[in-house]
Amino acid sequence: MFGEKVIELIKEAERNPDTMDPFNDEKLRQILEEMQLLFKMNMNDANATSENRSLWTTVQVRHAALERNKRCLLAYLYSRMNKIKTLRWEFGSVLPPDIRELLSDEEYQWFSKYSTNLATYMRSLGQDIGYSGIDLTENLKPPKSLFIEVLCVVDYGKLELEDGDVIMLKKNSRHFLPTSECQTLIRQGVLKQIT
Amino acid sequence: MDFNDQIESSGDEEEITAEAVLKTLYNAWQNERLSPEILPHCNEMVECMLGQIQHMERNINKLPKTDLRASIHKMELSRIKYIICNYLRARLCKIEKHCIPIINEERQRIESGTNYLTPSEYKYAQEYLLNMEGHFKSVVLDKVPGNMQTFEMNKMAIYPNLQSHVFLKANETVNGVVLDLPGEQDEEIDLEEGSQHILLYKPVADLVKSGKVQLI
Amino acid sequence: MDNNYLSISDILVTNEKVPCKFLHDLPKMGFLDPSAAEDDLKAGSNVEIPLWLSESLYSRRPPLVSVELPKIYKDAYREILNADACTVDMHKLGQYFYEFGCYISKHDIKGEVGSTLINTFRQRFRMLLSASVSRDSLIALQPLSASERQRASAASKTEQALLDWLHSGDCVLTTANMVANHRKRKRAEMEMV
Repeated sequence: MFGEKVIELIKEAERNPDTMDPFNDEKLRQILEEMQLLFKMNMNDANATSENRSLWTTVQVRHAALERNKRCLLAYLYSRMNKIKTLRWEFGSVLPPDIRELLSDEEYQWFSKYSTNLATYMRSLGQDIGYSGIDLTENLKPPKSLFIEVLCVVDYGKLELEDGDVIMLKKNSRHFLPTSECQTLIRQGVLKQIT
Repeated sequence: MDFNDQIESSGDEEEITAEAVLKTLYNAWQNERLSPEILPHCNEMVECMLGQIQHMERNINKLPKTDLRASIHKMELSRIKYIICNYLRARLCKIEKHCIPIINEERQRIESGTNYLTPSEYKYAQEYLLNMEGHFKSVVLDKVPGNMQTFEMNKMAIYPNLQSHVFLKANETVNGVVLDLPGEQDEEIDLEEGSQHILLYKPVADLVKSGKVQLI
Repeated sequence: MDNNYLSISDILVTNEKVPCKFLHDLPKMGFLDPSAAEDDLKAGSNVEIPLWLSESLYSRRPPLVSVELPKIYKDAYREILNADACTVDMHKLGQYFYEFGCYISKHDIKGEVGSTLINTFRQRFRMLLSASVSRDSLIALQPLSASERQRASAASKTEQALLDWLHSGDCVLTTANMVANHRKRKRAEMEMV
């Protein structure tokens, strides 16, 4: 109750900065229950301070514990929220199912809203002149060459290029493609650049 | 189709070359990447470059695919796109991280007509904060005991660290820059045009925003 | 290291224990003191409580606790640190030595903790900086505090990035960080099944 359980949640959030862990629904529920208990005890003791003045100190201690729990829970959410943001920038607007199941329903809702907000903003760029070609989630590294050689790491299927050509991305196939068209697939781990 | 094409800047009598706009955008990009706080926007420059990109893309598509000029221009295009994207992304990053103080300060700046954010960015910031608040409420705040359910804006605010150090170059001579060093006496220094320094960001923030110094 | 409300590192720092004396009776809070036999804590009890609690109770008017310096900030340890901070196992001494010290130093009437912190930081920072040129020398360093580890890792990443750039001058596009780590983890999990 005094911050031990909630610290476990915090340590969970901190342990793996580069991967997403499943949302710990169970621990959250337990901590919320403990907070309700603490609050109830405080309500009882607050009413009794007229008989025993030193109970007031106890109420202060419990209140500090309540605030601590609240702070830690929000920090847990916030740290996951930032990771989910990274998911949008690295995996794209559609999450693979095995990532999706690591998020709680509310988190997935936040992800959708974030994605929509981002899309709205990107659409607004150049709107006045009728230009809609800037996707901020691409163009992440300074371009060094127009074409690069890539190896396909998974069976991806058909990819239609800007000029209309269609290529088949089969596992272990090699291709020589325009950088701009493979950037996203490289970031998503579908293609690998060969140097 | 040349970077020395004259283009008109909206509302100005002067004509500026695309090359000059790109240089200004490049400097704005450097400043934005290296400063801890959000800087005034360069939307006109960005829109101008987007217009150039659109123009160039149309012309490239008219050329045969194997024309060498197409490759060179495509390269140029991808460089410009990279700068624009990185610039806008750096801004979004700060807007997200410091959304509460930025929105508060921007509200006042809008009233005096000195806004730092574009209307789209401001809308993005507000929406982002709304989503964060909604998320915190639905998962935690609505479920904690009675009097603790508020989303305390002042506690949640994350302020940029204006005490961080930056490398800068003076674009013109600036005299009498007051360095407010914590725990020590105030010092005053002069920055000669072209000289480079490492300083605390806070005393030079205004100089960055007015273009007198360039972060490097 | 930021210490705002939502900062996980600040939460971990404020979890460290600090020795305090309770200035009032504390009914029903006996569990705070593992050596107490009773349910109630009496005024005058010396208990080690987490920093977040001590700061909260100390800031009441009147204060409900008085705070003492943890032993790692006291004379004996300070002498060792002032003499040669680089040989100290910082991981064992205090994962959050610096950050915790900043909070504690306001309870130090003599003002010596502050200067020890700065001195220690200076010595060890020099050590970190000169070791960051090679991965081997970083590993050979005495165990570091959490923030030192972060700085060392950032230094070695930067060093590696510089080397890569000098060698190839080229920017190889790579799989996104979280994507790559997610795949690694999945593969590891599958191998365990």
